[in-house]
Amino acid sequence: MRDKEIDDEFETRLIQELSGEWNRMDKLVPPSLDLPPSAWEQRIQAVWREKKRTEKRENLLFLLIALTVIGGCLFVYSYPYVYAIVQGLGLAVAVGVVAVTVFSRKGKRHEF
Amino acid sequence: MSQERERALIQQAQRGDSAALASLIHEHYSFVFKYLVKVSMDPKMAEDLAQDTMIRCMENIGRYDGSSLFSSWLITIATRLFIDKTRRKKRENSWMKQEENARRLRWNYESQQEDWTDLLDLMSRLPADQRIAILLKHYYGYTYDEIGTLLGIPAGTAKSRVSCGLTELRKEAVRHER
Repeated sequence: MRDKEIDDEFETRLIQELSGEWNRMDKLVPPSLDLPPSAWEQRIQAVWREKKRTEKRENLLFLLIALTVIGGCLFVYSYPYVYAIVQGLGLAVAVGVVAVTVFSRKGKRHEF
Repeated sequence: MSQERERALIQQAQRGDSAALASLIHEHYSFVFKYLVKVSMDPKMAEDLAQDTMIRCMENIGRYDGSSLFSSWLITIATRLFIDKTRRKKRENSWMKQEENARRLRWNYESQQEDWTDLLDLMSRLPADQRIAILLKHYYGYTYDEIGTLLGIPAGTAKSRVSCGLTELRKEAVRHER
């Protein structure tokens, strides 16, 4: 019981000392940059302008992606055969590249 | 600044009035800076973070919903920016830098012929999360629930951080006294 009282007393004193130190810190370390409201206003307008520009860019990008997807879907719907041919060609090229790579590696290994 | 005037300024700022927002920021800049000095124990880092906090405030003023005080909202932004920065610094292996930060503050004290106490030294060595929790609880007077909301942690964790921090400070203080 006595120990608990001592503990509490110690903690209260510690917190008081800490508060004292923090109060002193507030007085001793002022901000070196203390801009007037007019300077803050200029910064705010610059930040807002930049934000608007970024938003515009993002919206435009979203619109382009959406248009591409919709256009692609419409194309597939209107010309399924052309789409199948394009897909087939793409696949053939990809398989060809893989095959050439594999065979050329095999060929190199035989050389040694 | 009275609460009513502050509320009116916030509403104007949310409607796009840059003069109102400038006035709000001007009023709170010193408060945020002083909070960050106590959190980081580094005036230079505090200055950088205070500016970053204000930029975040400018960008996101529309999202402030008034559920907490404006100053608490700024403290939340400032604390998260500080935590992000220290995480990044940790990755850069900056134990040396942390020592350097406290040295900068110490130099600030000594240049004004003020004592750098053992308690300040102990505070500077305390883990930042415990230092923030003690500061918010015992200097700014937030409840554990509020600290939890500010830091995005459960209230129990906030309580244990305060308790662990104070225990650590006590242990070190007793060791210093001997």
